[in-house]
Amino acid sequence: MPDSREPTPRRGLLRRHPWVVGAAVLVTVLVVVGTVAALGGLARTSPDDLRAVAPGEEAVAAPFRVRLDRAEATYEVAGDVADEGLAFVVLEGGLTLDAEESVDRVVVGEALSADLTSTYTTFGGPEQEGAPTSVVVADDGTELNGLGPGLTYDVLLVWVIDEAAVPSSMSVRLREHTWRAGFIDKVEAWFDPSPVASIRLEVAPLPDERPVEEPL
Amino acid sequence: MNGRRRHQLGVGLVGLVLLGLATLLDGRLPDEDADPGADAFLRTAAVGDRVDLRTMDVRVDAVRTTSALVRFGVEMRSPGVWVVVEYTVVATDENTSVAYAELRAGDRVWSLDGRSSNDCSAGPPGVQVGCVAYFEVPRDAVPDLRVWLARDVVELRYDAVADIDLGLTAADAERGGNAPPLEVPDTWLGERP
Amino acid sequence: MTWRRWRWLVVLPVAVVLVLLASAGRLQLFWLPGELRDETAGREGDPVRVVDRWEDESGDEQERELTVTLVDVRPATWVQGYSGPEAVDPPRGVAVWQISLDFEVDPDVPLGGCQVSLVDGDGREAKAMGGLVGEVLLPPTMCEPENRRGPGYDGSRDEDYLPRLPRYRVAVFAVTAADADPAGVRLWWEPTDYVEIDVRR
Repeated sequence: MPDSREPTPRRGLLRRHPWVVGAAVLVTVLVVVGTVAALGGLARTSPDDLRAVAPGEEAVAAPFRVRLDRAEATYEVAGDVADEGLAFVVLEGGLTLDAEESVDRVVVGEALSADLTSTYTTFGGPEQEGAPTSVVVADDGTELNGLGPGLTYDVLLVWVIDEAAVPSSMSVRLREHTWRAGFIDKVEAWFDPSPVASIRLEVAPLPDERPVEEPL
Repeated sequence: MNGRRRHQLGVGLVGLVLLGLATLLDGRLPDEDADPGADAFLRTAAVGDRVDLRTMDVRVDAVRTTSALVRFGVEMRSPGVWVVVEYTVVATDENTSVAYAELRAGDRVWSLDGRSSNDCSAGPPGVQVGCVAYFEVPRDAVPDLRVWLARDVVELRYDAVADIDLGLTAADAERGGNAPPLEVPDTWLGERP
Repeated sequence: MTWRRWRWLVVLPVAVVLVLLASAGRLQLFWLPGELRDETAGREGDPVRVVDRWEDESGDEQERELTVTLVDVRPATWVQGYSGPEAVDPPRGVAVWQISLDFEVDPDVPLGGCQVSLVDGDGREAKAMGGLVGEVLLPPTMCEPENRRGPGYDGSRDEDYLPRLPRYRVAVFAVTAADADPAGVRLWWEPTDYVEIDVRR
């Protein structure tokens, strides 16, 4: 049996300076955790690995179920004619809300992100996130600013776009939201839109002639 | 068993019982963000009842269902059912109106997002004001619908809220699907036109 | 010995009062500044000298002086419509009142955004807001005449209007319940100052 007055060096270090060793371990752990967190955490991130959804196929992007059928570029939609220099990109599809409470137009806009450039918000400013300028009920041409639970609409997603920026094909990312309490006011709502699927569509080209707007 | 052992066992037993009780209790306490003291004061009523909401009285006068609603000459066709609620407001001491209106069925809530809308002007105290709120809901929600009406759309905490059973049935949902387009009724001041 | 054990109880009411006072700080900070608390009282027919405080764009407190006289409160019979005078015909249960106010104030004093309400004998307060009554659109409440304006709060002048005269009269319209018995007219711009003029009954 070893002489108790001369313990082995390793055991001795821990025994003689327990606080220092403990502190060193703690600091190491903190540094590792901090570095991992600062670099984005351990969750897998692969933005290009979005599930590809075919046109006409329904996809889930909580709280919505979305179906996009076809896309066309046009000068006229739901009785509105585009201003000079502008046109519309219109997507026909379906939108259902699978949630317990109504959502507003912002949540709808965050869920649908097109890769179109030079599009506009409903207020006329530049659209930065690819959200549609407006959502229109296909059946009657009225605008849908948000929707209520359990309702399914055939919709037209309309992007107001510079005529010169109309593409021949487009891709729409569907983003899902998380239901959680807000950090500041603790009110529960749909936050953190994050892409889950993407749909590629051909865009039917603009007609040759711009329709003549009836003088008022 | 000697006295000391028994004492230790007794302490352990009491500790376990207390832990158990504490766990049970903890499950029933509101979480740290809940504010039950600030809950709205719900006043439950039926169509035709006058409901006292402190700063005003409200009364739901009529409820109608339809699949197509006409407003400002524009027809809105719903994939579900339009529910049109006509109600009367009488302010108590100051000009007041109903700015908050929602339909509820079970846990689901239909607010004024989408094409739903509430039209209610603030009338002077003692004067009847006719208001209209209309919502589109899925057909299956119609039989259980209740309407919540209150003064302020931003803050419901501590405020009085009318919780009124609309008394609709599945038959109303069906009938609504076959009805001709309904014009949104006008609001009115003083007396119903 | 028992007295010494319980003497902390004496501190208790003091502590409670202190806690209440500390909590009342919220009233002082958040609620009271938004209430109309500083009254200048007057009577119908008498000129009322008013010193009204307002906050300008940079947050500094400013003062304006004016003299206002409540000429009378009477049932409104006609208003100036788009194409000429229109008869006021309130529906059942509704009364429309015309409140005439004489102002004596320097033409360079900003007076935009004034608020007027009619208080009745039961303490109910009806805001004078304009709006539609029957088929008639009541004009919105203004403390400046139809075609003349003073400066804006940022000092700007609207060139479409002539400058105000030092003395003028305005008519303000209030809608009340038919059974309302006018007791006072309240006039204010920003809390906490307001003017309350008793109606001669």
